[in-house]
Amino acid sequence: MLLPRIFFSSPTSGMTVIESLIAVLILGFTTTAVIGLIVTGDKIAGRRTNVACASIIAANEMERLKTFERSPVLPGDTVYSDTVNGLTFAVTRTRIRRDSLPADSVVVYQEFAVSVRRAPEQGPSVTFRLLQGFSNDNAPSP
Amino acid sequence: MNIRGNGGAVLPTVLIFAVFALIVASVYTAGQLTIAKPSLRGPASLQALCNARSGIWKGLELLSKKPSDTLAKINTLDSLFNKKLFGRPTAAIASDSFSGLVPDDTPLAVQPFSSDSFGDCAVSLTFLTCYKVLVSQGRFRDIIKSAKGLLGGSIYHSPDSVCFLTTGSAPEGGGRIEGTTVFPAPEAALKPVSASKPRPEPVNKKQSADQLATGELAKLVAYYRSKLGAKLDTTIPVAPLLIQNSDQAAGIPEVVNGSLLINGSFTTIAWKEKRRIFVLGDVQITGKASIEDVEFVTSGEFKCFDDARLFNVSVFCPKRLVIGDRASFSGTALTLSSLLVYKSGRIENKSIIVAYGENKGLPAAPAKTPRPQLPVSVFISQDANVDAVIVACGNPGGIQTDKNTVVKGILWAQGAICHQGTLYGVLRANELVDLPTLKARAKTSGLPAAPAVQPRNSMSGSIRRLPNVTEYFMPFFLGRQIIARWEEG
Repeated sequence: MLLPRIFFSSPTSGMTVIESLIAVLILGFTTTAVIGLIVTGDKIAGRRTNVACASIIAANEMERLKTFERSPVLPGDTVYSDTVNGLTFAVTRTRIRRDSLPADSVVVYQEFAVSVRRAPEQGPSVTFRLLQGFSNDNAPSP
Repeated sequence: MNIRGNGGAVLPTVLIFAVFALIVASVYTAGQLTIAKPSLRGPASLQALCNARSGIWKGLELLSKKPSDTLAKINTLDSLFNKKLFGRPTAAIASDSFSGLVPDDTPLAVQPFSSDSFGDCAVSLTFLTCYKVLVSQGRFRDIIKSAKGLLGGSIYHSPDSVCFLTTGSAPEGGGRIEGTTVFPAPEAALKPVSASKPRPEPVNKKQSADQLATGELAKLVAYYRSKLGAKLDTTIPVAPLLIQNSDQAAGIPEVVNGSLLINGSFTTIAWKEKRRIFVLGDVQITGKASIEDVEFVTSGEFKCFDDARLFNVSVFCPKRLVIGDRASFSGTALTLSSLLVYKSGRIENKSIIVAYGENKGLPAAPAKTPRPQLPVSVFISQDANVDAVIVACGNPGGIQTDKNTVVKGILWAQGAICHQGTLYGVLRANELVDLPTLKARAKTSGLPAAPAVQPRNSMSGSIRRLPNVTEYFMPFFLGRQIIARWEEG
C-alpha cells in the first residue's frame, strides 16, 4: 500500500498537505465570496449615489415644470445634461399628448414623462410621470 | 496527543480568518444596503408626491369638465380601456360621471396618468369660504404623499387698466385716475376725456369673462348653511361663552351653543389652531387677542375690535362683519349681510372679503313709510387701511370708501361704488356714484323707481396702478378658477 505510506508515514506531515489543500479551497471560496460581497456593496453604493443624484435632478425638473404654470411658453420635449456631485446625467422630458382635453378649457393639462440616466448608453436610472396644468391663454393655439 | 505538532494548525487559522473576512464583507454589504434603502425609496417618494400634485390638476380638470355627448370618445388603445372590468375602478369612475367631485370631503379615486404603473391618487373637495380646497393623496407602492390646492378666481385686467365700469361713461367729479378706464361707451365717447386723461379702452371679449358665477356662490352658501343647520338642529342655545385667556381658548368646543366672546382686555390671548368652529350666535373679539388659522362658521355677527389680531382665519357669517378700533384681519371671509371697516381697522395680507347681500327687497305693497335699505354692502371709513380683494355682490352689492381710507388691491362691486379714498389697484363696478347720490338712493330705496336716466359716473377719490395686482386672487366664483396656493406634505 503505497498511498497510505506516503500520506500517513508520519502522523503529522501528511495532514499538513491535506490541510493546506482544504485551506486553499476555503480561502478561494472565501475570497470569491468576500470579493462578491464587496462588489455588491460597491454596486449598491454606486446605485444609491446614482439614484439619489438622479432623483435630485428629476425633482428639479418637476419644480421647473411647475414654474411654467403661468408662463407664456408651454414646455415641450427636451434632452439636456445636468451635473450633480461631479456626476453627469442625461435628462429626457417627454410630453405625452392627451386626447381628452376640452377645447374651451381655460387650463391645458399635459402629462410629462421625465427620465434621468447616468450615461446615454445606460438605461434610465429613474423615470417619473407628472400631470401639470398650464394657463390656456398663454399656451400656443393647437 | 501531540499538541506541539504541525498537523491541524493551518485549518483553524484559515477558518477563523475566512469567517472573519466573510463577517466583515457581509457587514459592509449590509451597511451599504441599509444606507442605500432611504435613497432607493426616494424616487418612490418623489413619484408619490408627483401623483399628489397630478391629482390636484386632475381634480381641477374634473371640476371644469362640461357635460359631454352621450357617446364619449373611446380609445381602445388606451391602457386603461376596460380597466374597470378587470382591475380597480379608478379613472373610469371619474371620467364616467359629470364631475364626481362634490364638496363633502369624500375622496374620489382617480388615475391621473395614461399608464397605471406609476400609482394613483385620491382627490377630495371642500370649501374654505372664498376658496375651493382640493386635497389629493398620491400613492405609489406603499408611500402616500398629500398635496392641497386652494382654488381662487382670476379676472382679466391689462397692466394699465385700473377702472372697469359696465355702465355709463367716463367718470367725472374731480377724481384722479392714473391709468386707463374701461367702459362700454358709444364711439363718440371713446375720445379722450381731457388732454391729461388717457384714452379709454372699449370693453373687449376677455374683460367680459370676469362674470360672477352665481351658481357656484349659491353652492357655497348652501354648503355652509347646511353645516350650520345640522349643528342648530342638534343643540340647545345656552349663555354666551366668555374666553379670557389662552388656555380657555384652546378648550373651545367644536360647537359653541351661543355667542362667543373672546376678551383679551386682562391677559393677552394667543390662540393658534387649525380647526373649524361653529358658533350658534355672534362672535366678538376684543382686547389683545391674537388668533391664527381658525375657521369660524357663525350664525350671527362677527365683530373684532381694539387690538385684536386675526391672522389666516376664515369666517362665514350670515350677518354683519365688523372690523374696527385698530383691529386687524387677515384671511378670507364671506358675509351674507354687510362689511364695515372703520376707526383704523385693518385688513391685511391680500385677504379676500365677500359681502353677498341677500336683501330680497321690500314687499310690493309695504306700509306708508317704507324702511330705507342700505345703499351699499361694504363700508370702508375712518382711516381704515385695506390690503385685500373686496367683493360686493347680490343686493345691494355696492361699496363705499370714505376720505382718508387707503385700499390696496381690488374693489369689485356688482352695484355702485362711491369711492372717495385712495385705491392702489383695480376698481370694477357697475357704476361710480358720488356721496349725495348714494345718500339720496338710501332715502328713496323702497319708493317707486324714478324714470330711467342715462347713468353718469362720478368719483372724487383716486385710483393708482399697483404693480403686483396680479398677486391678488379673487374668490373662486369670480372669473376663471386657478390654483391660488399650494400646500404639500
